[in-house]
Amino acid sequence: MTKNLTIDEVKHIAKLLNLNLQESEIKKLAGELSEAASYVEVLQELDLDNTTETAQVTGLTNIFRQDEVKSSLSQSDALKNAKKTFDGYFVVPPTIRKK
Amino acid sequence: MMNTKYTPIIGLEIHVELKTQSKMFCGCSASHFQVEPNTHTCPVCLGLPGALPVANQKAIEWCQLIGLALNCRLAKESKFDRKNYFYPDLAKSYQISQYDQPLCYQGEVVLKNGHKIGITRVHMEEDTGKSIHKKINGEDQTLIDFNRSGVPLVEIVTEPDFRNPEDVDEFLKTLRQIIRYLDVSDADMEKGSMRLELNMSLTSHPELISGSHPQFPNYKVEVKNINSFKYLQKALVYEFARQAEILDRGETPVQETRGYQEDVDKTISQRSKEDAQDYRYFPEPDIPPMVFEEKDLENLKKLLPELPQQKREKFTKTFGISTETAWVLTESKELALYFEQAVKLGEVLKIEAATIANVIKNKKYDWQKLSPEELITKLKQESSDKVSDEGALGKIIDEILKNNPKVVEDYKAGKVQVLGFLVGQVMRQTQGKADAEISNKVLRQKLK
Repeated sequence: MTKNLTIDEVKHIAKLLNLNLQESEIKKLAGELSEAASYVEVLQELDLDNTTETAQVTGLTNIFRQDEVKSSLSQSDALKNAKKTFDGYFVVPPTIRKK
Repeated sequence: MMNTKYTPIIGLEIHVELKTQSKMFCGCSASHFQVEPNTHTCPVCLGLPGALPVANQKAIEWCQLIGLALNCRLAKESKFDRKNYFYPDLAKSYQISQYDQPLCYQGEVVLKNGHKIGITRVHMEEDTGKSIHKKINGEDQTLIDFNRSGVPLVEIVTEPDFRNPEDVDEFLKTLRQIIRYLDVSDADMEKGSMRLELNMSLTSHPELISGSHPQFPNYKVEVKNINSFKYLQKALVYEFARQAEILDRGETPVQETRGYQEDVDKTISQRSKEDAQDYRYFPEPDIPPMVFEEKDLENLKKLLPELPQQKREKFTKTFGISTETAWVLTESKELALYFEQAVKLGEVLKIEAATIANVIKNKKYDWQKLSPEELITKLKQESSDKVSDEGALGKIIDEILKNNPKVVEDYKAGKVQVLGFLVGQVMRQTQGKADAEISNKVLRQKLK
């Protein structure tokens, strides 16, 4: 069993995910996340002494494209699934408040 | 401006947007300046699920060329990584960048004064979308345009090797010049195709930061949002004074990111260490790694055009012009090529490279308004009008020396700068038609 995640660790993870959590939710999640993490721990049982680490499984290298322009989506298609749009832009909650 | 009690330790991080036709990982057009918003997007650069990024070969080649031009070593093995952070202009919530295997590393740029600036790395990444902050119906809103999302971006990181603002300025101008010679980016600060960030700390023990085991101060302040070379200088001056004042009080400046605000000429705290970014870099699983053979890298070197430094060496060695003039003539690639073409044309008509160099440098003629042919024609015309006969000039000079005994005395007493006055007199007597070089020679002979 892995160590339990601390409240501060959960707060940090929530911040990285841009989640706004209540104190009660943080407590609950600390338990649940620790449980989920310990589940993945079964992987530790594998014998990997003779296995090299990799981030790639395809065996491919140097997959490039030429510098050619292909057609793009139309503006209306690009914005189709946006919650809010304005004048051809996506609209999101303000990141800076204008004076 | 900067007191001598402290020595600044400055490093730079420069982003350069490449001017490829298409984006870094998809075929959307990379042009985004004054383009209708969200018209150059696709599932890849909008970060839609299931889209597969494929790297633009030209962008990678250009990044390597920048590395070569900055005397970097090129990686034989390289890969992309995901840099995770949350921000609305970052469609995927991660930026495809490079972490532990940059395309280029360990370079160096030597400044005019001999100072060496180490280049830590040059790597390839993608730009983010553009945010516009606006009030709509009285409400603050942020508008996002993803045309810029995924445009190839090269990041250049220097070692903290700068010890004064003048070196920073020269380095940046040299870098911009090199990039423009390579013709891989406009490197235009105003259009945002070149962006600067700096980091700075101060030490009162400069002896500790030289040598093979430098001990740097225990803090470092990053400054972002610098929109011109001029503002960078101002930000350096402001930051120096701010940090010096804190150190004078016996305290240590907070390690943090600050933004330069040009309207008030100050840097303002943006983010302190407590919420330092945690980017959780990991290898980009969608893009296979890159492997370069020795011969690929050799071929790449052949693509390097003549750079400002090489042109300057050529100009001084083969054309015998001064280093100072060579710097002027290599200011832009266009001017250097113009000069070379004029020299070629001049050869046929026996017009010296040095003569051409001087008229361009002294702005006697505006090179941007005359073709090299027109310039040479004008110079030919001038030289045929010129009095360059030593005998004829000798007579005029004898007369001048006779009328200026005091000046002759001064010259013989060691005030050699009066020679300029005497050449001026010769020019006056001949209505500017005397050959300056020959007049000079004859004057020296007669004054011996």
